[in-house]
Amino acid sequence: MSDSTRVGVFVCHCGTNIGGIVNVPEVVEYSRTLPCVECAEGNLYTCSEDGLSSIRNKIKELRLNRVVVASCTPRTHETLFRKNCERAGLNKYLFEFVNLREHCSWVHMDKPLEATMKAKDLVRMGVAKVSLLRPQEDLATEVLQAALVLGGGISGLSAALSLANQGYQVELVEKEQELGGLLRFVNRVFPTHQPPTDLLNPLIDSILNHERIRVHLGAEFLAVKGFVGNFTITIRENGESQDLNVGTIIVAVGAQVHRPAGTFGYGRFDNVLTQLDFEQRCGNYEGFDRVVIVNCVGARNEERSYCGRFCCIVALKNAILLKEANPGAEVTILHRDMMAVGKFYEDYYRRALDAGIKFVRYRKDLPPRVEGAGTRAENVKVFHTLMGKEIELDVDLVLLTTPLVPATDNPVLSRMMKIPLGMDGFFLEAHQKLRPVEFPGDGIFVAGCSRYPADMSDSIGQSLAAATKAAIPMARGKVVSDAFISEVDSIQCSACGRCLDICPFGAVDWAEVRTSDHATRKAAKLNPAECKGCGLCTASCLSRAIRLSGFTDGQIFAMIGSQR
Amino acid sequence: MQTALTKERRASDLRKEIQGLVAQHHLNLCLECGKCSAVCPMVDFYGEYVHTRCTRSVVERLCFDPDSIDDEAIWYCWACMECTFYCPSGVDFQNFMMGFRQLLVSHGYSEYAHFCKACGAYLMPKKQLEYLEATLGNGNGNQELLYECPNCKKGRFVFNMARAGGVIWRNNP
Repeated sequence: MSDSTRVGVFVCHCGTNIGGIVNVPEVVEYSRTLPCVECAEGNLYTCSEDGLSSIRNKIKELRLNRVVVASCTPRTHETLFRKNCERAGLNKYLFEFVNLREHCSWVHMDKPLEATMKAKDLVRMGVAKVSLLRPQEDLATEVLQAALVLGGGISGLSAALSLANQGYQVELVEKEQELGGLLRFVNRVFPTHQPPTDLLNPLIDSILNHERIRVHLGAEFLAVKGFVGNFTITIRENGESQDLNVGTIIVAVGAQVHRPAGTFGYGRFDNVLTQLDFEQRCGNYEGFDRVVIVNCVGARNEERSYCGRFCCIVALKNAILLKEANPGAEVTILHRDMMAVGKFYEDYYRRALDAGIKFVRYRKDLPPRVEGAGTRAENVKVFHTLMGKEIELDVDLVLLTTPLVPATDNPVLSRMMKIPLGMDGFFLEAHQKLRPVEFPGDGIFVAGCSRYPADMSDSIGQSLAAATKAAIPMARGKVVSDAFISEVDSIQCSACGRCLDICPFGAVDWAEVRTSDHATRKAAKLNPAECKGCGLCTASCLSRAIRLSGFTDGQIFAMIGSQR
Repeated sequence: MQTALTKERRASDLRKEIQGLVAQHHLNLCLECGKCSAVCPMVDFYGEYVHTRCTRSVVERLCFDPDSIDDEAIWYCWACMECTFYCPSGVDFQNFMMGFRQLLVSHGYSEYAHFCKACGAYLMPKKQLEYLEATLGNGNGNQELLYECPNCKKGRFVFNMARAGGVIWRNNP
């Protein structure tokens, strides 16, 4: 192959998406006049097999060593065209994408002349840049065939069992002395009214007896190092610290119950309990004649804006069980809104209505007041919005329905593992809809109540999803990352630390560099396996010590400098 | 003492019977959606909307406020069946209202009820009578219809017919 740069330009009509606005033949004609361009052609659909084979043929016939495709968007099609170049024997990083559809034709639909001019500019910039690209190789790192599951609640247990059954070694780390999480304290599960031990015990048994699962009870999470495929986690178990080497991590640390100290007489009266307190202490539901349940305690307010998601169902469950144990009991649920979203939950609400449980809406600004003497609550006063006056309900038990709140050590874990926390204190997934169980950084996944309050079926669903996601890199055996990543020139680095703060993936870290035979100094060091090539560090670096290959200064200035 | 006890027992009987009616007509299925209040034509009749008189509120008051049976607000409803028709949960409010008023009358709560002047049977709430008197009034003879129950009207008609020797169409003297 000759050393001179030989560029092929392929302009796509994208049906009428581009061709209907931009004058494609004119752009093709113009491309031929650009420096180093050996051939230029227009295709109806470059991504079709015709278009792809035409690129391959041109690469072979004309010995092209750079390819520019001007078409829809790199987001969906860059991989396809890169693979196509590879098939023709060209390094895939010698390809440049010009976004003619979304950066030009779609946004200038009513100005075809100007759009054509802009298309020419974009193609010219692409050609200027492609000449400066250098062949590169993908980075591949091995993935250890083991996973760490953090948290031994229902989410962690399901995830661990799923991964182990898929054939991977699993390290299950639980800070308590017992597996099962919050579900251990629940008396019955809705809507089937089974004792949770029916569901937990078989799961725990199969976890404890599984040959590929190692359970670490009473273990403290100390540190994590490494990146996808090769994490080293330090835990302290029974006073001894030990290192675990795993390929992926699932965070299923769960949440904790909100205890509304000081409100609604909680802590002052003995018969004012949270739902979980009540389920923990009162094995049976008999002996309560007048029960008032207050919903939305500490949820959907200024301090905690979110909805507890399944608290309403918990209130319904305990109301139904109380009513069934004692049909003469007066059970009243004071609520701000009833939410019965979920499979069979609306029927469950119906069941509560049929059972004769009373529902009263209260206003956020006029919450119920619990009154009593000594350590015993005697009545609840609530402003009835429909009657427009305060009513008084005699009680011998008040249940407060509180939401789950984030675990207190979430911030520590977040800082340690470089995984983001949301405003509400729960872990923040990479994308609320499209990537619900992943973190922005590779190899770390989230499931269950550590993400947001989730009931049992949601937790299990999420943990199975996280387990499947975590198995993907392990099944592939190696992670291949794009070669367009940043690199730090440690000589130029002034060690200001901006890149460390700004990197969303935690790929930059400090390293000691040798300045002379005896002296060392601190400088930023980039881990290629973790870098996604977003360019934030490059843009933020004050010393211009970080270079993003594929978007180097030289390439960007060549694009700008190629103005007519 | 005896009277007070009896009175108390009767009040508790009434409350129990109301709870029976509440269960029979599925009043506890209410989801507080507000459709019944939205379609209620009471505002057309009385010129103003008072939320304590509407369907949902009556249900709530009967559940939580024992004193509400003394309140005239529960005598405003016309039992037109709009709310029952539109209810998504199947609350049979119309039949509940009819049964409930019969119950109240049988327990002696006759303050706001209007009775047939011939036989003394419960006819309609006084509030409804006032409205009808004002609209149907004007001395055109229609007012006659408001004071007798259908049975008595039929009885008087048959009696007049027999006295006239089988002549059906003859004005009353």
